[in-house]
Amino acid sequence: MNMKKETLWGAVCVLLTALALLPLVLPSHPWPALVRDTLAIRGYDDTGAPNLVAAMYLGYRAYDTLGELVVLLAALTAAIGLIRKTGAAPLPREEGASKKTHTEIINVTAGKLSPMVLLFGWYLMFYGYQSPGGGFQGGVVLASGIIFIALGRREEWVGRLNVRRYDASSISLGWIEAVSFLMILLLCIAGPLRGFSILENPFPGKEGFHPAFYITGFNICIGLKVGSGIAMACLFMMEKSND
Amino acid sequence: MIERILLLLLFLAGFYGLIARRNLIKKVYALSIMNMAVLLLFIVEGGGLGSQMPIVDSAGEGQHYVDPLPQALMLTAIVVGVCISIVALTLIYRLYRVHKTLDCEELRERIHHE
Repeated sequence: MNMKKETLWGAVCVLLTALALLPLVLPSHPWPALVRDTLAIRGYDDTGAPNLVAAMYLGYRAYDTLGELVVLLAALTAAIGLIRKTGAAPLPREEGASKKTHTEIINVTAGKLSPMVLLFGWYLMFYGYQSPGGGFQGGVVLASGIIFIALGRREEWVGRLNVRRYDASSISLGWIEAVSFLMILLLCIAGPLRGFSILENPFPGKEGFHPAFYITGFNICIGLKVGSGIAMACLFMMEKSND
Repeated sequence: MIERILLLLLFLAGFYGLIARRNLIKKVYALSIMNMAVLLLFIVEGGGLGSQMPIVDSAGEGQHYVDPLPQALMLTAIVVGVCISIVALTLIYRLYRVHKTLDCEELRERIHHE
């Protein structure tokens, strides 16, 4: 009875929402072309990125990207803090649940795929300024590659990226994330140091530097930050104690 | 027109899941579906302007590009959506470890009793 009541009220709510949203959806106003035309003419000269999407998020709206990275950092900090606080005691396994979570097929496929996925992630980061791709996309693909390594149980590979190692002598995902965020902050203040405004491309292409130098650097730092952050959160969730 | 109506239906499906389902994990999935419907709406609308990717050195002319603005904005929205999912799922995981249930009504009763 209770379930039926919930379904009924759910349907009423959906109907009311549909009535409220229909006036937004039905009229077919043409999408304004002004921004597209302006960017097509000025985007490359203003920011140095032929890819106009990269010109937008690393040039005109770079503050937005910076804020987004801070949101990502805050979310990952909260998630990792919450997972670690639960302690390492494993949950009681339900009766009849299969203990075997990995098959040989997953191990082999994930292990073989991971180098290609990692390479593709680097490609997206390096060529994001002039082809479809960019820091965020490359970072997510890098994270997928690291998760593939973990899924393939390549312990000797993922060992050096262990999420619980924070000593200075080892490379850990936490260190990669911290250093890439520091690099992003340095790139933010590179403009004022060279006499430009903050977050402006400090290498406009007149002194031997390719104008995309700044955009590519930004893309690589963002990719490393996003990739290490998402991979770290996923590896924390995949730990054996959380099975 | 038809794509907008389909995206509205996708959004409403997510909305129904959010309010009528009692499982917290399903609520988070429903939120992601709503998020995805909005993202797709913006991409579809901006894509209606042209048919070529907005890269200046490609062979296309400026007036054939799709609009890069909604794509750049939706990139931000995707990352924020992922952040919301990560934090929500982690909170649900902690709730499950403490109360051993994912049903929101049961959770409310158990928390009320304590």
